[in-house]
Amino acid sequence: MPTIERHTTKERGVHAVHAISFIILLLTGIGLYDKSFFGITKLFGGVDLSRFIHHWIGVVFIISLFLMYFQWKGEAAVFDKDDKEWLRVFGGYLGKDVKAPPAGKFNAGQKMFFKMIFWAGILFGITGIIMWIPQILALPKIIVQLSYILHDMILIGLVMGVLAHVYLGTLANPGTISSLLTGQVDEQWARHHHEKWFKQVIKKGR
Amino acid sequence: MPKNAMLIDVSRCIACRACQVSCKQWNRLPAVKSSFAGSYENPSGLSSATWRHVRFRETVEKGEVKWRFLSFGCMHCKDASCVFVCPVPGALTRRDDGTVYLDEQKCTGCKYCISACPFGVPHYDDAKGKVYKCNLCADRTANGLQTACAKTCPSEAIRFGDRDSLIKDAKAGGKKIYGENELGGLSVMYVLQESPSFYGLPDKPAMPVTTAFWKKVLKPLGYIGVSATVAAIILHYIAIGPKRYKGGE
Ligand code: HEM
Ligand code: SF4
Ligand code: SF4
Repeated sequence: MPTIERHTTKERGVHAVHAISFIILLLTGIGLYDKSFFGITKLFGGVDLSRFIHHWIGVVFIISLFLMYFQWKGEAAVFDKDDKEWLRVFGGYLGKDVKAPPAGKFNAGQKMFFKMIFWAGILFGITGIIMWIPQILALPKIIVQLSYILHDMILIGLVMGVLAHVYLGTLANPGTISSLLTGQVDEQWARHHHEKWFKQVIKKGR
Repeated sequence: MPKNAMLIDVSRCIACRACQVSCKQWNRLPAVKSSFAGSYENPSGLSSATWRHVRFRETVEKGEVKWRFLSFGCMHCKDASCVFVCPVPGALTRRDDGTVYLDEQKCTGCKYCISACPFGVPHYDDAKGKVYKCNLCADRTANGLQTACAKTCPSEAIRFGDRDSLIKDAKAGGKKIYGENELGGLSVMYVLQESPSFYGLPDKPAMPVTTAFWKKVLKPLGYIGVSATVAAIILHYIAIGPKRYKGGE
């Protein structure tokens, strides 16, 4: 099966750091969300250590977010007629034989997810720092209270978004996951899912 | 079970601050460096090392100086917002005897209680990484002693005892009690000379709406949202299934 390169090693590395730090943040944060999850803090050596890890992996999460933003923002900035149409037909995901319009390196849904991740991550960081050191920032109490609410709203939105993201990258689209594992994808996969990008790569490369 | 309580009659307070000092002495709290801010009040408020503090309210009325004092600390609420938000099991608990107890060993220093308390009582200690507040001298009351502040108060402004009898006594004297029914009933109650807000107390204390929204509305919404997402994914996989491409597996 002929393959082409979809993501460089650096791109995949940044995504991996970001994804793993997200999971660590989720596991170290969730113990504080509800007492029924408190036992999860034992995984990280207790609640104090969980929180310590949460704070500093939060920093890693933000740094990798920016790296990811700069490596992919070019592709995510384009938004053409096909993308509009793609959104209208929901990328063809709502039926068995719905044809989606051709996509570039990323389809319209991926671009929207990318932008959501970016802004949500920024807000995650800002609210997180406010929750971390309110005594040093000396902000009015209402700001701290609103930060708790925002941090959790973003949490809920991102967990929902990431679940869908993982499903679309694995079970829903066979052949996709290799773009993260080896960086290579099957040419036929590329032609089917990202036709415009595929044609560009072929034109440039051969 | 009888409930431990304190009733503070502010009209009897002479602002000697013996309560402030005895609290520090019993709980081995260090002195706090302070600076003059135009009032005899000192230090300026509660902190992680000051669990009882005498507030000064100095006003001038018709050319006369009016001095009002409020010996202030944790109110030991029945429906305590701090206990409600504390994520660590056992770190903040409301005991059967009416004490809201903060266990220094268990507290992780997340500061959730600080934002939730309607009275601004808990304070964070940066060096220790934990939050501190009055524990109603739980180590004394468990041994049949009264709280250090009540024991020391020379003018009997602070009285410690069984909650019901303290309330009965005050009512027999025709006095209005702040805290009898507020937040389900506070274990520290006041007989005030002015309106609660004059002393910087909330007229109608309640859990902040932001706190209630955070843990009572948003938290369950989170479970609904995440469950719905998982359900939608499973449904999609069954009803529509994966997108296969020509030449793929
Ligand atoms: C994917 C990213 C993140 C996830 C999934 C996440 C998750 C959570 C969760 C579930 C909580 C508990 C909320 C509650 O008690 O209701 C929490 C609390 C907290 N988060 Fe995050 N968070 C993330 C990013 C961050 C970042 C970037 C920072 C800051 C650098 C941060 C700082 C905090 C702080 C300070 C708390 C309060 C509890 C504590 O002090 O440990 N979080 N987070
Ligand atoms: S006054 Fe504040 S710290 Fe004390 S029990 Fe009530 S909510 Fe908790
Ligand atoms: S700071 Fe301590 S007492 Fe306060 S909510 Fe957090 S763990 Fe509980």
